[in-house]
Amino acid sequence: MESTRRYSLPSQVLTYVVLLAFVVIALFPFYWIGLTSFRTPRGVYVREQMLVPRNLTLENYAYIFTERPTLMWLRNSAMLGLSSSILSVIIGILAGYALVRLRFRGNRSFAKLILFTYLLPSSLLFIPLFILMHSLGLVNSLWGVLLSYQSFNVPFCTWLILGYFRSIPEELEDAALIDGCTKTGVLFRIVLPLAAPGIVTAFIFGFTNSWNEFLYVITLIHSRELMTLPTGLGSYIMGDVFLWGPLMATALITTIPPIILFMFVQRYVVSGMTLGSVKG
Amino acid sequence: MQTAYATTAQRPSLARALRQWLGADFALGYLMLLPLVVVLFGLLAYPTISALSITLQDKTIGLPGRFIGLQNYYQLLFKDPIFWRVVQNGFIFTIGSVSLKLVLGMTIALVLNRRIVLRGFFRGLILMPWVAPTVVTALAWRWILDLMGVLNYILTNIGILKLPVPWLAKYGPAMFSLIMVNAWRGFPFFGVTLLAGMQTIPLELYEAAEVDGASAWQRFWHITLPSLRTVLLVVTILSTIWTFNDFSIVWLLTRGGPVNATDVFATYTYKLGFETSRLGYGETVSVILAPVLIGIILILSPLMLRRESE
Repeated sequence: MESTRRYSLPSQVLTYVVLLAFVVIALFPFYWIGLTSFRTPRGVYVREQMLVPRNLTLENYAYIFTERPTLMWLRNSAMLGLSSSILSVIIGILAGYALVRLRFRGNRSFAKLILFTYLLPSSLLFIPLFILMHSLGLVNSLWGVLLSYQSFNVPFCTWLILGYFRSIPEELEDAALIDGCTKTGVLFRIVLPLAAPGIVTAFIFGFTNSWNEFLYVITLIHSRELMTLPTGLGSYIMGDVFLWGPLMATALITTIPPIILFMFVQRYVVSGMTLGSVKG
Repeated sequence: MQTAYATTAQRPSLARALRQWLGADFALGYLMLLPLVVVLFGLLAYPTISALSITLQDKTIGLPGRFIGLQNYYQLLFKDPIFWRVVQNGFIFTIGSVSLKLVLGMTIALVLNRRIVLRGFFRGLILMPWVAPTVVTALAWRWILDLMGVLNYILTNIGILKLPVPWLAKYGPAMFSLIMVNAWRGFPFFGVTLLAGMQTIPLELYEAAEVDGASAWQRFWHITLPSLRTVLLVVTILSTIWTFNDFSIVWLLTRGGPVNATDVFATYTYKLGFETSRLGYGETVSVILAPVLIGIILILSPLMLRRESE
């Protein structure tokens, strides 16, 4: 509805006032994370001109990188995000192509099953997955976490990729088949290059899902050096004492990668979102 | 397909029978599905079945469980007052958050659907709460809502509050805060999805209505809302599933406290399973509420499949 209607001045003003209110509410916590991360331990509680950036310092950042295992958490998060999403995308490409283009018994009911499993929430699965990893000897191991991430990333990426494959016109593939290309050849030479944006999107969503995950890591990992960034944040909470400065410095670093990746895929975000990222 | 069969007439008849029964590409098809099947079975089906069997045992961390029949279910339903508190909390939290998200999301969608400058830019900004890791934003809110935090600072300074409120430490304010934070986090999803839905409504409908003298409210009620019916249903049900199962926000803001005042079913399951190490009893909480959830999913999936094929 790209409207050509003219809006009256008061209604235009109201629109922008409401928009501005939404933007302020949506962004204030990020401002507060940033501001807190540049304040000293005492400075975070100073009430005088609390909202204004003053007396800023980098000492929290120096602290988290030199005295805390932040780089280790960063590495764990990055490795889990990359490996889990690459693995899911490969499984998703194979299954997606088979379900969309190949003719065999059960392919329709299978597509439904994927959606169903994708909607199953992790709060239902974390205890059985913990027991499974326990019996496999994978508790307190990043391998166990990687496996448990596949329980949401594989159905999610497969479902996304399935949708993109459906949107590619079948005629192109038929032409290649007539020219003597095999079915697997069609997948690699025609479908994959055409679906590349969709596959990159699935990869980025998969990466973000893993990067943001919290419940599986706190149930499966006990050692501080095996934690990821989101779970590592918890180590700045000791009973009722919060080290807000270092906590927010780490929080800011945790937020940057998903936001940068999101900018690349903003165009596809809506379709990806109705399929849903793992949260809500 | 007929031509394909003609050229393979000399093949062994078993393969031909299989192809006829299982479909032309069955071998390659099943091969390509194999990794997915392994994941679905190993990481979803098997754990689900084992979840059911755990609830019939007194399983604790590190010890094998003994079969105790339906004792966990009996205890949970009839001997555990906290469970009923959790169910009640879950409904208050879910209904409160989802309706707030719906209202906020619809408002921002209507605003963004008007002719405004830099729409894409503003849409991106509004999406930030949704894109950032939940753990990060939940902890940011924990700090904002702290007794010494900035919200109390602002509200006491402009005279709305005389004394700072312990937002997360009293029953009423704690549940209220959780609903607010969950709505803050989730409203962009509603907003952007509804906006996308609005942009597919043909402009002619509005022009015709305007010619007929329909007011802005009538246009919204008789054109926008009915056109968004499926989208609204899908986002509402999706969000209901996610909110009902929320763990991070509740856990990081209140830990289900004070006492069990804000425990929802994911945090209660976690506490039973990992703080008192009663895995069997904890999983019973999940399993007992699963039928509700599966019911919701079964309503949702056909809707999403229909949208997918449109």
